[in-house]
Amino acid sequence: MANRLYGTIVNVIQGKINAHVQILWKKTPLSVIITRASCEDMHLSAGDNIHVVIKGTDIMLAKSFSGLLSARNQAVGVVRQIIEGDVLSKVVVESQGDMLHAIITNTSLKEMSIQNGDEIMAIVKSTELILSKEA
Amino acid sequence: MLSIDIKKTWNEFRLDVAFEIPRGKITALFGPSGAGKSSILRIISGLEMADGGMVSNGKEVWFDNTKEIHLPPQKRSIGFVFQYFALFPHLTVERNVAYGIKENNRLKEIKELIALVGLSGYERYYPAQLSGGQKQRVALIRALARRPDILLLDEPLSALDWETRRQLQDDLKRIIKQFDVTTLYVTHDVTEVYKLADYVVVIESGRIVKQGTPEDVLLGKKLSTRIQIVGKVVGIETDSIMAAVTVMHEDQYFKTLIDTEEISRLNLRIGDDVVIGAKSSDVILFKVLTQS
Amino acid sequence: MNMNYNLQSSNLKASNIPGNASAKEGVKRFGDKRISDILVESRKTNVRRQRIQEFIIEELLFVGGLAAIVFIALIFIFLFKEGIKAFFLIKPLEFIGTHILDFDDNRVFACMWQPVGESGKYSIIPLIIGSFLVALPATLISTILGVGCGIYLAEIATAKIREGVKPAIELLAGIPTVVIGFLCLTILATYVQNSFHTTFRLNAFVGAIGVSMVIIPVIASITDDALRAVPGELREASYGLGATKWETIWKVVVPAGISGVTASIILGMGRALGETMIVVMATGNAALVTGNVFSSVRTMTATIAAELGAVPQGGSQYCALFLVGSILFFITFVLNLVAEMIISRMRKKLRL
Repeated sequence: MANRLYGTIVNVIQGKINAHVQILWKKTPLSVIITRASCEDMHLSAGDNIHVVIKGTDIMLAKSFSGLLSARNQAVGVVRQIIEGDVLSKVVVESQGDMLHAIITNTSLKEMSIQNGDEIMAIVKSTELILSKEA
Repeated sequence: MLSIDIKKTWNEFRLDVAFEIPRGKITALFGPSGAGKSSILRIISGLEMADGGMVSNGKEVWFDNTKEIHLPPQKRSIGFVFQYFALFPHLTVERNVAYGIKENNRLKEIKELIALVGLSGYERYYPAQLSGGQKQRVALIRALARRPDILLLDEPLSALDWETRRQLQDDLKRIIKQFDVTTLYVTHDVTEVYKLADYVVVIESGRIVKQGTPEDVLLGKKLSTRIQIVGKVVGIETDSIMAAVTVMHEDQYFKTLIDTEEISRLNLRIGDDVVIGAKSSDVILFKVLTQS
Repeated sequence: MNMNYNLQSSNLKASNIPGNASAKEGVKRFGDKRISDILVESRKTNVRRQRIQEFIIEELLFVGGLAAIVFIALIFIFLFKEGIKAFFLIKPLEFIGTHILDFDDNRVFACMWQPVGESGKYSIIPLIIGSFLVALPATLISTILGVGCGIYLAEIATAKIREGVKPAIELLAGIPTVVIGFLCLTILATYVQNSFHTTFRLNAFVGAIGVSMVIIPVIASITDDALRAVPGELREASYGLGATKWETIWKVVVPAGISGVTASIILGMGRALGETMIVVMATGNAALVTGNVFSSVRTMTATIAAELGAVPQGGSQYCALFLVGSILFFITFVLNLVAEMIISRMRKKLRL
């Protein structure tokens, strides 16, 4: 839960089991799928401010990518820091003033030759996002 | 409604709390041991005296330092359940339960009361013949038998093993709700707060840190994950990127992986209470095959 | 058990050492041996020495305990050996009573202790009656006062009062019984006679009061200890259930501590039966068969104390006195046994 993005709910679409919560994080739209029960428990409605929690391991990185992608959440940013571990590495991406911590494998890091200052896209599927009212 | 405003100083320790307990609700007094929770309970019951402040049950003043009012415990309409049961060893179960009943015509109810806690047939047993869980059931119904305005429970489940504890948690709630009694429940177990309390007051080193519904105070419904498991951190292993945190919930261990930075950000230590949150869509299920 | 446990744990520690030492600092050598090995060996010798020490202490304690039992058994055997001889010298019926001629020359059966003279009369009935006529009232008086005092000390007195009163009571137990006997003989006897207008100035009642002085401290002290051992939570639970202080004491504290209280009373009664000097001085020493506490009596202990020094060894009176001693021994033994049984049964039931 390293990543917490603060945004505003724009729209809530409730299905039978799931609810689709659309959030505006600064200028980027985010889309979050949670269960309908959670949505009701949290009394979510358009206009509420909310934290979007993204696990670092759930973030996918793409470099000079073009094409269509089913993942709803895509944010463009710049690599600011790389911390290498034995198997995994952490890439800190600055996007709209917030820092996104993405955890990827060392193999990917090498293959994509990610370096400081690279322009990069962070991608997360909407089913991976968690909403929190906690500050 | 029980209003409490208590000030008391022991050598180094200072207790200074003021809060109200809503009528007919279970309020948990939650905090680490040594925070002063039990002392609050003892002052409310009159077993101990505060240095200052007041305690009143509705319009009835139980303790007021300025007016020098200090009602003895027996004049306060309370029921007290202790951590170590405190059953009278020389009395049978039914005589224990009858102890607090002053009206003779109500003695007939005793059988029903004992049945209510599932101990029918044990009326003539002595406490020494009962298990820990059974003892605490007797202690609970003994405290409720005199129909007190306020039920005070001082860590009633902490002397029991986890399986008995889990059983009793459900029974406790059912019975307390049935009596519709205003309850103050001292605990340091976050699971009990979740399971039992309508309202929670968090106490740390003699002061109220926060209060509200368990959901408000202890995360819970503030998080969108459907899977939320409350437990205690029993192990932390880290490498530069990821940290493995082992969380114990009742008799089960859950190994979780989080970002190493989270350990320092949350100031996570062994022994802390945590909530494991997981998205429902992140799990896989396996069917347990039973031998046919 | 304990010893084994210690052994195991120190072995465990010892076996940990080489691993730690070599892992952290590499293997250091001292001559041919690794330093860690020497450490382990010295630990092993320590363990062995400890084991021998513990063995010696255990054996000593066992011998001490055994010695106490052997001594009691020897006393028992000696007493009975001498006592049993009385049955060869005196007809068994005579221990209960003999036929004598009364003033109107009628033959009547009488229980008399009159060992001096041609035809000594050796009925031990008046002595047993005498003993109980002193011991029972003494136990009654000291139960009321002693238990009351114990309850006061344990439940009511503030810490400060307790600190002063408890040593004072225990000091009372240290007064030489001859001093108490002296006070009974000179002051108390006169006072009792004046207030109750008794025939005998020295009587069982005076003796009983004197004996109470000795056993009140015993009962008070044990009762106090027993009640203070009752967990504080029980008192609080009682208050929390609407009971007053008195209700709490009578319905909870005393019943929960009853085994200790009972023990103190029975122990006190044993003391009362065995008390000698006070009864010699204060009860008048007339061997009468009576139920009146204001009558002079002669207790078993007083009889032995007064007569044994002045009789020829091996004679009928000598042996009769040993028989009296054996009976006294037997009574107190049974009393203690009963007390033990009562207490252990209560303990089992209450499991305090």
